[in-house]
Amino acid sequence: MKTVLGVHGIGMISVCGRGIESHADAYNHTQSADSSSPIRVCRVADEILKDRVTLKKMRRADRFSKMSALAARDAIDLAGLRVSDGGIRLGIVVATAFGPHRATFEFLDEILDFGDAGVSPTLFSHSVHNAAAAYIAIMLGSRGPACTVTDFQYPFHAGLMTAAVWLHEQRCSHVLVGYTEESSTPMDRILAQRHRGQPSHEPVLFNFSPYASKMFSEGSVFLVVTRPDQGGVALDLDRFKTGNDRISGLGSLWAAFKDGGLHLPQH
Amino acid sequence: MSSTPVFITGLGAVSAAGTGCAATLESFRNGNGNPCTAAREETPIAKPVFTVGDPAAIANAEEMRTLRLATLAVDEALSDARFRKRPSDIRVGVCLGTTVACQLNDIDFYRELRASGQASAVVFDRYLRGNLSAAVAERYGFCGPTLTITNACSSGTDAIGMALAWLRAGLCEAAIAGGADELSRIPMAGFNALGIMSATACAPFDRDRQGLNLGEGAGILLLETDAGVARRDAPAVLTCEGYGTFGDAHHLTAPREDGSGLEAAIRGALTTAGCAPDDIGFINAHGTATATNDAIEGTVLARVFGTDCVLSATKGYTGHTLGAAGGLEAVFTALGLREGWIPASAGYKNRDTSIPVAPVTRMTNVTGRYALSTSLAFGGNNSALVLGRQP
Repeated sequence: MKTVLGVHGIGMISVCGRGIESHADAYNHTQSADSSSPIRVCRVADEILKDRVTLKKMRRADRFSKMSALAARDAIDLAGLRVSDGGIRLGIVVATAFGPHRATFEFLDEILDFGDAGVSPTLFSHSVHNAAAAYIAIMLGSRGPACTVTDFQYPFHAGLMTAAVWLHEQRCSHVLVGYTEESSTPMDRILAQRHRGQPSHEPVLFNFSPYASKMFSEGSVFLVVTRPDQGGVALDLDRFKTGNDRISGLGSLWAAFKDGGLHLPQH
Repeated sequence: MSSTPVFITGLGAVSAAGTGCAATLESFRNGNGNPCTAAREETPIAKPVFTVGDPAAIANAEEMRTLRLATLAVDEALSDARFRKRPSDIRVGVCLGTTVACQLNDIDFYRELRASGQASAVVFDRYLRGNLSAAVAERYGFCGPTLTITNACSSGTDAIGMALAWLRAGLCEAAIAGGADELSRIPMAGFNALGIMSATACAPFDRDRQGLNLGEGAGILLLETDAGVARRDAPAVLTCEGYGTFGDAHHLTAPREDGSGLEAAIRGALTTAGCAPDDIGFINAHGTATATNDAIEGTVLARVFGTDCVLSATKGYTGHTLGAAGGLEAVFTALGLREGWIPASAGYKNRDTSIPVAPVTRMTNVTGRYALSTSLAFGGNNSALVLGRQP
C-alpha cells in the first residue's frame, strides 16, 4: 500500500488565528496566555469561533466541534471541492488525543452540581468523541464514511494512515482528515501538574500533550487528501512523523502547497 | 479492490452473557437475558444494566476496567486460534473500538480536581495507559499498526472493518479487532437524560419495548490472511468478507428516518463481500430496543432482505455495550455461522406490526454461507459486516 497522499487543501484554526497563513507567522509573534488559566495556555480566540455562516447549524456545538468544522470547511474550500458533485466520495477522519474534554468536564460538573438525573442531554451528546465528525458531515452534507480515532502519541499520523487505507481500498475518492485538540481549565491543571518544573514560553501549535514540555495550546488542522495519482502536493507519511506535539511541519507543507514543491522536515 | 481472503481464526467474548464463548453459548441455549437491577457504581438512576458476572476475572485497580475486559477477550481469541503470545514472525495489528475508555471521566478524580486543584496522577496515568489498541499491542508485543476507533456505538464494527482493510492492503498478516467498553456512571446519566433507557429488561423489536439497557463487555476477532493461516496451520472455517459504512449527515443522536444510511452501509458490505442479499443466512441486528432504532432498522432490513429474513437480536443478553457492541455481535454472528444456530431473542414477546420483520423467538438452526451484523451510532454512523463460513 502506498503511504503517499496528494494534498489538495489545508484548513487551520490555531492560537495564531484562522488559516494556515497565520500559522506561518506563529513563531514571530508573542501569544498572550489565557489569564483565567492556572498556567500559561494559548487559546484560540473566541471571536474566531463566531463565524455564523459556517457554523449556522452549530450554535449549540462545543468548542472542539466548532474548531474542527471551521478548519474542515476551509480545507474543503481551498481544495475547491464540491461534496455534492457526483464523482466525489468523501470520507471524514478526525484524530485527537484527548477529544472534547471540555464538554466531558462540563458534563461531570452537571452530575456533581445537579445529580445524575439532572444533566443536559445536549452536553452529553457533545462529550462523545465523534460529535465533531458528525457536525462536519452534516455541515458538508457528506454521506461517506466518518471515523474518529484516538492516540496519545501520534494521533494525526493515525488519522492520516486511516485516510490512506480508505483511499487504497477505494472506499473514498477524497478524505478530509484532521487533528483537533482543545484546552480546558481542568485539563490545563492536570497537564500543568504533570509538567511542573519544565517551564517554557514558546508556544507550539497543539502542544497539548502529556509527553511534551512546552506551552499548551489548542487548535485544529484539516487536509483534503487523495491518492497521489490524483494530483495535489505529495505528502509521504513515512517521512511526515507527527507526534501530537509535532505538526509544525505543516508550515512547510503550506509553503510547498504554494510553491508546488514539498520539503518536509524530519522529526 | 483486493479480494484477499481474510479468516477469523479466533473468537473472544466477555459480557453479561458469559465470560468466554462457551459460557455465552450456554446462556444463548438457555434463552434468557438477566440484567441486574443496580449499576456497578452508585447512581440514583435505578435502571437495569448488564454487568460482567465474573468480578474476580476483571478486578485490577492498576488499569482501566475496559482494558481488562478487552484483555480477557483477546486472551480467549488468541487461545482459540492457538496463537503464540509474542510472535516474531508475524506482523499483528490491533484495531479496537471503544467509547468510555477514550474519556477522562472518572467522577471521583474530577471531584478532587475541582475541589483542590490537584489531580491524582494515578488516575491520569491509568487513563494514558488505557488507549485500548496501544495498550493491547504493548501487552502482547504486537508490532503491527494500531488504531483506536471511537465512533460511538459502531466503534467495534468499524474497527473490524478497518482491520479487514489493513489485512487486504498488506499492512499486517494478522489483526486483533473488535471493541470493548465498561459500564460507567457517565453514559448512564447521559442516556437517561436522552430518555432512551428502559426501566425494565430491554426487548428489542418488541411491540412494548421501552428503550435500551446499558451493558459492558468485549468482543474480539483474530483475523488472519491465508498466508498466516497456512503458516500456522490455524483453524480456518470462518471468514470476514465485507464491510460497509455510510453516514446519515442528519443529526447528532437521531438516525435518518428513511434509513438510507443504513441501507447503503449494508449494500456496501454485501458488495465488498461479493454476495447478494439472498446469500445472507441470518442477520444479527443492532436492535437497541429503542422505539426509533428498531423501527428504522427493521424497515431497512425488510427492504434489503425481505420480510422473512432470519433475524437475531442479542442485546437482551448483553445490554447495549456501546463501543463493544459491534465486536460482541460480530463474535455472536461468527458463533452462529460456526454452530449452525442462533439464539432466541431474549426479551422479545409481541410482534410490533409497524415493523415488517421480527426476530426469532426460539433457538433456530441457520443455513447459508454468509451472515450480516449491523451497527448504528450517534453521529449518524451506520456500519455493517458480512462474515462467512467456508463451504
